[in-house]
Parts: sequence; structure tokens; C-alpha cells
Amino acid sequence: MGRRFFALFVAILTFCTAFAEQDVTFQANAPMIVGVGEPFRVEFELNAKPDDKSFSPPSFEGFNVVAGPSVSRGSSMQIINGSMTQSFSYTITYVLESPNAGQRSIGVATIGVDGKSYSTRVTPIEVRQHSDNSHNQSQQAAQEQSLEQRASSQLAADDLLLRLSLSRSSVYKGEAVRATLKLYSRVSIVGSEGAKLPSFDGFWNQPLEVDQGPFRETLNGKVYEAYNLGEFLLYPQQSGRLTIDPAKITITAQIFVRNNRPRNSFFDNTHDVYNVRRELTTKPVVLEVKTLPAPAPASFTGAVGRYALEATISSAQISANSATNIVATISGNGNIGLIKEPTLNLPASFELYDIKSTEQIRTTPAGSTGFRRFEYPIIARAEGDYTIAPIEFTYFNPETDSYVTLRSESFVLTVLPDKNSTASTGVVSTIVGKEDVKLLGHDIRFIKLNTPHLHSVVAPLIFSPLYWFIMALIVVVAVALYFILSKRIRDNRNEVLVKGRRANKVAVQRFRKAEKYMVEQNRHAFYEEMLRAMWGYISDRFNIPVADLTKESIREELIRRGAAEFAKLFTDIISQCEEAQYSPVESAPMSEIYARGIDIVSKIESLVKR
Amino acid sequence: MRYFVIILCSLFSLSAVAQSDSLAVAEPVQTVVLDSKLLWDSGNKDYIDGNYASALERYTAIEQQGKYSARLYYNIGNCYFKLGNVGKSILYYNRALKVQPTMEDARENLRIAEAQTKDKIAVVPEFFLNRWMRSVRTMISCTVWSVLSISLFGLVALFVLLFLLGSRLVVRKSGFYGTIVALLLFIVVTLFAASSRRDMLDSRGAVVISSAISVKSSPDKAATDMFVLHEGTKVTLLSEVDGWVELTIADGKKGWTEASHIERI
Repeated sequence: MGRRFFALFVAILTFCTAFAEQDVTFQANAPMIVGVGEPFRVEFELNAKPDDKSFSPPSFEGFNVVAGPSVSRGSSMQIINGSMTQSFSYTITYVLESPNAGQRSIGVATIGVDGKSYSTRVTPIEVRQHSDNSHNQSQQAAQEQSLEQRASSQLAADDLLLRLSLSRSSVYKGEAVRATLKLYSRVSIVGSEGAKLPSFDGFWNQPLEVDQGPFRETLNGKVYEAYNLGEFLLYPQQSGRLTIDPAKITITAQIFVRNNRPRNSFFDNTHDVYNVRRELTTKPVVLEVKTLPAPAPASFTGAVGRYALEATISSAQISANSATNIVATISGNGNIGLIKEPTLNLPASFELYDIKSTEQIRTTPAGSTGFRRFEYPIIARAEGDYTIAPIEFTYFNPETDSYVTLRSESFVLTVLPDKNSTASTGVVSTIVGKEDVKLLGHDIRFIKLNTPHLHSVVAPLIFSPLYWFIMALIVVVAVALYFILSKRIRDNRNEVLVKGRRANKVAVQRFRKAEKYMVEQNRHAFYEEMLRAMWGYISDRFNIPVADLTKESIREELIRRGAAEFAKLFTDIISQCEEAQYSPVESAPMSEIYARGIDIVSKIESLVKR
Repeated sequence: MRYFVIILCSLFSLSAVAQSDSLAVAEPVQTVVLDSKLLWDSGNKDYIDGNYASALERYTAIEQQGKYSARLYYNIGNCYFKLGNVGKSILYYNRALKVQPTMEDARENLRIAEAQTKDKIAVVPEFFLNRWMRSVRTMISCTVWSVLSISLFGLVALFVLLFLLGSRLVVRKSGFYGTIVALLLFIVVTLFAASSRRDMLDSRGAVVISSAISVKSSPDKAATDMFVLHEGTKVTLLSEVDGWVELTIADGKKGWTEASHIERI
């Protein structure tokens, strides 16, 4: 069953395809003759199903494509007496018009069907001028159409004009320029639509109140009715060549066209009235915006025009931590809506709050006129007499091409101590940053009660003349002492040396003398001489004053000099001599005493010399 | 040997003379003492009664006689503090400390008064050795340091003489080492005395007495404001140009302000 059905389906399909293949036609339909600017249709007809995107249109050289391509498809199937007829239609339509008269042709269009390519023939078209109505069909409709065309052609290009004019062609940045959008018309206007103003990019614009008109104005030698569509004050915000983009409006004008209809009655019009729509655009207008001359003063913030400055302070005497106002009013003509508040330089102990700005500005064709008032609320934090620096305002005067700086008077302000803060610690109220918790339970230490030593001059002793005097005195005394003492010591030492050197010699002489007495057996004299020799020797040798000479001192001196073994011997001899001097009994022979004396002295001498 | 004793005696008598001289310089005021004593006592009484303004009047009357004393300055500082004038109180505590760096009460009260000032200046921390030296130095007054300096110099001279003239080795040795030790001590003490003197004579210190001053970049009213100082802040003056002073604060900032806003310590 399924097999049979399939076979039948295939058979039908094959049949259909075979049918289609046999009679594929592809042709272009176009009118032979068309009028200039008259839209006409060109159809490309195919009676089969084309391959996708296989259509390539001809080049419509000399024509303008008004619409298209639009595609319409159709298929029909007819079964008559069992025989089936199927037809396809595939139509591609273009709407063309030709701007100029002459012989034209539409080129070859191709299309593919089932892989095969079909093409149309070249179709000639004659384009004729409208005035040439000789072969025009005398149909009413055709005549109507031509009248409308006549009406539109009767509306000349300069019958309706839209113009944007600037009051000046070159301005400074920030200087006002007036732009006027006007519609000039020599025909009656019945309506307008789609008015679009320029965007005025790069400008700050202020619309002006204007009388719309109409006025009678002469332009290029022709008299027009002029309508003022809008007037703007433009303030360029950037310098360079600024282009104002076109304004647009579509105007419907009434045109009277004389008709050719026979005048049947009195009431028949000899003219028909047609409404002609015309889209008008302005030409782009270029404005040369000059940069403001450099260098600009520091207080210049962009004000251009002519201004006056007035500044006042609301009260010249306030108490600390209270507020007062400084009011600066800038009045004049220029870009007053754009001016910024002048800076107010306050002494450091003042605080400035948000500046309030009020304005009253009237925009006139001559520019914006009015004033802007800035209120500076300030709060004084510390008492004292202050001079607040004057407010400075600089504007650029385009008439003189120069900057003008206005300066207010400086404000003199007396700030009295704050009445509200506690009297005892006036400063505490202003302390915010630091914590003095520790101080809460503390107080300063008590005053000193004992009577002070009052001084009247600050004179530190150090490096004072007195100080230097004392120091010098010390040096002088020390040097003097040095010289005196060193001389004395030197002298002393010399004496000792001489004595010491002589001691031996003297002792030897005395011993000789003693020897003589010994020979003479003069005992008294002998012992006396021996004693003198020995005492004298010690005294000279050791530099001991005669007054200090005792046996003890001699012993001490000898012990001190490391001759302890001689001390006893020496004192013994002296004792023997002293005894023998006055005693009749001889304890020892004189010669022995003499020998021991010489011996001990020579021993001490050799010891000392060592 | 006997000569050395003589030298020693003479040196000590010298230093004694020096001491009595310095005292003579310090106390030449006997004529007005009665008057100032009366003022002083009535001032103390007023202060005790809580009548600070009147006490201040009495104390400043003494000050206006051209007399000064650490205690007087200290009491004036206390009066100003009680009257709420922190700037002036700091000024007077500083004056008291300048006259008598050892005055501990003034230091304490100054600390309390400074806690009430608004400016918080980051002070560059001092090297600990300097701090120790300073605390040692302020233990003794400048006059005492000076007398010590003179005495040590005398001692140096004595030891030099001993060294030069000593006949025996022991004496000479002790003279030599004694000279070195005494010389070192003399240098240290003299340095202390000199820096105490510098502190005493230093008139560059000043205190802001207006409640807030703006310090400008140049001595001109129209000059840019650099920073703001408040009452009681201690500054160091650098230079002075007709009515304007250049000052610097502890963290090194510099600027100009009108001289009437500050007062020298």
C-alpha cells in the first residue's frame, strides 16, 4: 500500500516539474513612454518558482528608484476534467522615475530557476517632457495630474525660503549673538508641520520673545511676507568655527492654476486651487568664535559683557560664633546667567557657608540684562578686628577687547568676644579636637606665698665680664705662682746640690783638722771637730737645717733614704763623741772613733751618690 | 710642700670672692622691697579670696617696677589661668621657667595650661641623651653652674701646678690625672652653664596671645595664609620687620604674623 502511494506521489511530482520546465518565461513589463518626474512601474514577471536569491536586477541607469523591489508570489492549480494545470507567478516590481527627458532603456535582469538562468530583454523607454501633451490621453485624470504638477512647478524655489540669520558673524566666546529664524513667503501659506529647530550645539541659548509677524521684507530684490519663527540669544561655550545645523519645516502652500476647462457658468472657476507641500531647510550657518585673549586675570571666570559690582557687609560688628552676610551684586549686560560667584578670601578664623545666589535677568535682543546677587554667610570664630579682602570680579569687555577687574571695598569687621561662652574659660568652647578628660579633677597648683627675691637684671655669671676676670685672675695667679715657686725650688735645689757636693769636702777638711788634734792629743777639740764634721756632713748632704738636726731626724732621714743599717752606727758614733768630749774617761781610743767616723761618712757618701 | 697649701688656700679664697660677687649682682634691690612686699602680700590675699583680677593687678604692679622673679611670674600665670586667659598664663609660666628652670610647679601648671590650647603640633622627639642632659642641667641654676665652672678651673690650675712643680713622682702623677679629671669636669660644667645662659638670654621664644592668628607667607596683609595658630601656642621668632615677625613652630612650619599677636617670653 505504502509503496504504491509513494510511487504515485513521485509520479505527480515528476509531472509537475516537467510541466514547469517546459514553459518558463521571464519578461520585463514597462511603459513605452513616461513623463519627466512621473513615477512608473517596471515589473519583472516569472511564471515559475525562482531559486533563492538568484534574481539580479538590471542597472536602472538614468532612472531614480522610487520604490522597490517588492515581490509578489502567486500560484494556482486548476483541475479541469481530470487534467491538472498549475501556474506560478513571481513578480518583482520597481517604481522608477526619470529626472530628465530622453531615450532610456532598462537593462537585462536575470533570474535562476532550478539552476538554469533566464534573462529579460533590454526594454527601451522614452522619457518625455510634460509640456509635450500632444499625445497625452485626453482623460480627465491625466489632466488633473498634470495640473497638479503644473501647480508644484509654478511654486518657484525662491517663493518659500527658510533662513537662519545671525546678528554677527564673529564673536568672542561667551559673547551673545542673536539668531533669527525667518520664513519668507511670496505665496499664501495654509499650514505647516514638522518644524524642527536647530540643536544649537556648543551654545547656551536663550529664546527671545518676538512678534511673529508677518512683516513685509525685501530679500534679493523681491518682496516677501516674513514670519519670525523664533529668535534666540546664543552664547558660544567653545571657541572655533561653530556650525549651527539646519532648521527644517514643511510648508503647505496654496497655488492657483488656471484650468483649461470650458467655463460653463459664471460660478465656474477659471483657476483651480492646489495645496503644494514643500520641505524647507536652512543652510548650515557657521559662526566664528574667537578665543578670549590670554592671559586672563586670576579672578576671571568667564563673564563677558559689561558689569558693575557692588558688595556690602550686613553688619560691621558681630560677636564671635555668630554670623554675618557679605552680599555681592553683579549687575550689567552680558552672559550674566553664566557668571559664577566671585571668590571671597576670608581670614582663617572665619567659616564660610553655602553661598546663596539670587538673580533677576531679562533677556532682550541686545543681550541678557539684570543682576545676580551672591550672599556669603560667614561665621566668625575668634574675636578681633579683621579686614576682609575685597571681592574681585573680572569680566571681558568685547567692545574694548580687554579684561576689566572690579574690586569692592575691603570689609572692616569687628568681632567681639562671644557672650554665650562661659566667662572663666573662654577658649574651652572652641576646643573640639583634643580630649582633656584628665584635667577634670585637676587644677593648677597654688601660688607661691613667700616673698620672692626680686631681680632687676638678667645677668648670668657665666661668660660675664666678672667671670672672665676671675678666670684670668686664676690664670695669672697660677702662672705667677708657677714662676715664683719654680724659681724658689730651683734655687733651693741648687743650694742643696752645692751643699751636698761640698759636704764631703768640708767633712774631709774637718776630719783632717780632727786628725791634727788627735796627734796633738787635744781630746776636747778632737771630739768637737768630729761632731762638727759629722753633723755638718749630714746637714749639708741631706739639706737638713741645722736647727732641725737631732739624732732622731738623722735616723729618720737615713731610714727614709734606705740606709737604716747606718743610722744606728752613725748615731752611736755621735753619742760616743758627745760622751767623750766632756768625759775624762776614754771609752774608745781617738784613732778608732776617727776611723769609724771616716768609714761611716764614706759609706753614706757612696750610698747617696749611687 | 708648704707652698702648695698656700696656693690651695689662695684659690679657695678666690672662688669665695667670685661667689660673693655673683650674689652682689643678683641682689641690688633693697629700696623698693617694702612696697613690692606689700603688693605681693595683698596680691596673695586677693588670690586666696578668689579675687583673681585684683590679684593680677597687684602682681603686675610689681612687674611694672621692672622687677622680676620666677615666683612672681608663676603667680601672674596662675591669675591669668584662673581668669581664663590661657595664652597669657602659658606666657608667664614660660617666663617663670626661664628665670628658674628648676621650678617644678611652674612646669606642672604649664602642662595643664598647654592641655587647654587648641593647636596640636607634632613635636620632633628629642634624642634621649639630650633629654637627660637637659634634666641634669635644669637641676642647678645657671649661677651655680658658673661658680662650679670657676672653681673647677681653679682646680685645674692647681693640678697643673702640682704636676709641674711636684718634686716627687707621686705628687706629679696625681697632679697629672687630677688635671685631666678636673679639666673634663670643667668642660662639662661650663657647657651646662653656657647652655643655661643661652636659655636665659634667649629672647626668641614667644607665645601666641590672640585667640587665633593666621600666619602668612610674607609680612603683608594681603599675603597668602599659610596656617592658623591659636592662643597659647609656643613659637620661636626668627626675624622682625616693622610690626611683623617671622616665626617657626615646633614641627618646622614657618611664616609671618603681626607682632601684636604674640608676646616674647
